[in-house]
Amino acid sequence: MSDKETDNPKEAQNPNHPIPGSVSLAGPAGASAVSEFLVAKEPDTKVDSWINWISDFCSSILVKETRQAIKSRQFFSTFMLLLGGVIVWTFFALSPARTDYEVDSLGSFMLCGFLFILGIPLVLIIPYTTFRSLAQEYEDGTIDMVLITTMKPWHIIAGKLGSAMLQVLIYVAVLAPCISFCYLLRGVDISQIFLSMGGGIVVTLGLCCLAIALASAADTTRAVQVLSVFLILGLLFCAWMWCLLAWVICNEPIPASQASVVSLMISLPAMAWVSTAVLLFFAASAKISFPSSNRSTMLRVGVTIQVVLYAGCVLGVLAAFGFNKYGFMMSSIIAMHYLLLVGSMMVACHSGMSSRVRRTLPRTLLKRSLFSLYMPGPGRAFLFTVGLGLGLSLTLVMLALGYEVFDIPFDLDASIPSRGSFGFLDSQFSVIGICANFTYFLFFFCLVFIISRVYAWRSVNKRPFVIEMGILAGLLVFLATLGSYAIDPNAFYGYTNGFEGSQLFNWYRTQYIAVDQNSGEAAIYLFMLAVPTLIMFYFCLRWAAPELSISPTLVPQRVTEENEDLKREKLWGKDADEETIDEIFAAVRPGTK
Amino acid sequence: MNSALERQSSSRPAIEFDQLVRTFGKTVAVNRISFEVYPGEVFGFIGPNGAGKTTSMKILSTLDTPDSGTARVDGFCSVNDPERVRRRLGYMPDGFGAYANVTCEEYLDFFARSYGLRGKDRIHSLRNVMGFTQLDQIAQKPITGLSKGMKQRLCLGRALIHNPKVLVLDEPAAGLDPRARIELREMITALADDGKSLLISSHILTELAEMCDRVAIIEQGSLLAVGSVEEILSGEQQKQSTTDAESATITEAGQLAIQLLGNASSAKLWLEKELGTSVRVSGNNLQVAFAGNMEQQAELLKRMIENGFSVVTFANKQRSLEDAFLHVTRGRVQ
Repeated sequence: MSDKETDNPKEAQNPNHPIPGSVSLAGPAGASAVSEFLVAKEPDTKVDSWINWISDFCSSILVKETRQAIKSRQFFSTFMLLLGGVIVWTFFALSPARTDYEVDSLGSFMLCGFLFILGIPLVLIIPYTTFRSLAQEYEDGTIDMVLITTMKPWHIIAGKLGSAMLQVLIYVAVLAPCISFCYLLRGVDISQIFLSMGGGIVVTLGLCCLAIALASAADTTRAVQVLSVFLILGLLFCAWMWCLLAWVICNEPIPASQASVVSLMISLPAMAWVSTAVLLFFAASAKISFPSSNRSTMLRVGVTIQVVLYAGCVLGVLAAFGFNKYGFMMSSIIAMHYLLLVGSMMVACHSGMSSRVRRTLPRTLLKRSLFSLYMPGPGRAFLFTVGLGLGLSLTLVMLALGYEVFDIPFDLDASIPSRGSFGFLDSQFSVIGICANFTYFLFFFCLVFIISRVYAWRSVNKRPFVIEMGILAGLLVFLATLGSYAIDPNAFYGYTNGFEGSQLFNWYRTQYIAVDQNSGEAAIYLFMLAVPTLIMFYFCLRWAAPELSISPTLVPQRVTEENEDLKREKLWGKDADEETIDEIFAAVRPGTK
Repeated sequence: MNSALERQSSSRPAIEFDQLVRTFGKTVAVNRISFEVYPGEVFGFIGPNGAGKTTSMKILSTLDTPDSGTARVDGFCSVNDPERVRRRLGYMPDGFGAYANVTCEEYLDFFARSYGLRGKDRIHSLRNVMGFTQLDQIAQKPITGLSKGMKQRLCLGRALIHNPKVLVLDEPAAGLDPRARIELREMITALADDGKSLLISSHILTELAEMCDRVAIIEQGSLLAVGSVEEILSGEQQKQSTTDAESATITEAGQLAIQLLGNASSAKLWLEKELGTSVRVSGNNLQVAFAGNMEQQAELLKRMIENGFSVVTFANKQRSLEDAFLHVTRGRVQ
């Protein structure tokens, strides 16, 4: 069929090919072309068709990234480097020319080398390529094309992480025969092998989450450059830490008597690492999601989970190693700093709530007041963080009081002698320390909240300023900690020589003096800090609370219409129209017509 | 799901802009623009660089959010229901970002999966799109080495992969050779015939005039004129801008183009004396503002010949979309 034979522009233009989605144009001519294409694209083997079938259940990003990664020069080079490194190391370790040859530790010696080599792709290359994969999308503008598909933002992030983890598995699989060989030699325990392999995977997962969270924030070329430098420096530091960890794992076998303590010591940082990785995953997903969507709830759920895990860990550690006031105080200080940091970033969100999110708000004021703290909005973020800080502080207070005052037994490990040293005074000091920490947190957090609202009010572009507020919170804590020493350098040396007013904003020192040395002066200063804190908190509360009364909006009629249509389709099938449904009703219930 | 969508009322505009405003700092990129595009319509979006076309298209395509006003696709707001909009909309940007180590087929396959197409639906859609855009011959070629024309085809294929009702094409013909332009134009016509609504921005106004049912002219973020190409040419388009009445009025006297064998300067003097208007001369060509009807034109020609002027051609100069565009816009940038 030539152009001259038809007046139909569609046929003239594309005689062989139908318009996508158009049934009417799929004529015989079109079918022949399609069949040619079909022949060319039929899967070659059953394995191919299985892979096709399986890939339908995977994220499209995972499929694309894996295809790209496996065909990339970087993957080929890394793979060859790994193989080459392993071969060289094996020959070196087994070389008869070595003078420090020890048969008893040969397995651990070889494993250590293999882990060092594995660290290059796991700790350096894979996290960096994960960063580049998202940053490159911003640079090339391809991210826009991905974002306007129907994929959810977390699918995009998960796909990129999935591809990275697939590469991890490939590299670990490459080393598996060598590691098995180490096990056959002397000096390596099976637990060490599992720990090193599991550790490697968990470390890479966390670093990839960090890398992708950084990449999601790097939406300009300059930001990419700056963050690349920081990331590379950070990864080099992590590579060094990995080497240390690998050395410890290979050379310090775990004695059976301390297995429970060591497991606790390993599982706590692992839990913190993994939960932070999850939080970074949510943060990256939130960063690339559409501005009107709810970016806050998952992040706040993540923070809550971390805080709950933290409280559990504090209980576990204190129960295992013995309750003491320093344990409570340090636990409280760490938690409050964490909440100050994440809270400051959360209050930096845009103050307006989109109609889309308002649709999902609870309908009654009571429910909104109780359950909407996980919804977006700086005011809600403020109340959420303060609530979380208060809840955690009260939990720690209850623990401190519960041990001695309410005689709650914590008999996890009665053999540890220091456990018995916790007395009534210790619990009293702990409670004062926790309250002081909360006061400090509240003071700084109110300050950040006020600054963030003024900044938002003056801002022209009305964009979120998460990074700025995170830096401000970090700066405030840094100044509070070191500022007092800058004002009064003697404080460095006069650690036990009384208390000066200039040291008030130093969380650690003021508490130490007030609680441990029972300094009345420090206590007065703490009280003086509490007064402006309460005043600021009152104003912040007045600023934040009205957000709870924001009423929900109605679902647009067009959305309701489509939802009903989709529901009808689901119930009655795709092709059923209203008349058909009426007929079905009439058949089922005679007399309806 | 498609059948549910198809059951919707056909009278609903496929695209709606309602008092859309978008600012970047102090720059107003889009200033209260409003218009609709109906199903099966090809709508041209014309404006100089920096007029706000791409910004408006990005808002419609859920890549940006407006400061105020709404952009809707099939009745769904691009801000509040972006997922529903994305299901109905295919967007072809002016720049093409290519993935490294990916072939054309893999590229389209990736987007088919991203739009939730699975199994046979995905394969069927992939075949249709590759066939329609004639990419099946280069299916296994890496996209980084493709020509501009092929990249545009691939980009169009990507926008079509989920069979959207609405297509937003930002400068689709930019940088294409004449053959590729003609092929692209034919593809667009075929898509419109298939019932899809198309919003197209382009600098090649002659092409838009041939393809589009209606056009909108935008400058400095404000809509200056909306209407069919004929309406725009005749100056009968809807008056859009209330802030700049001067630019909204494009009615002007007709133009006569006269070609002589010689003696153009004396013909100029004669015409100026007879008609009382200025005459532009370029070689042996004269351009005269003349508001008369056909009979009056014939009378003028007769008198010119009687006065000894050797007239080779005597014709109404047709106003093109380019003329209308130049007349309506002032070439202002922000």
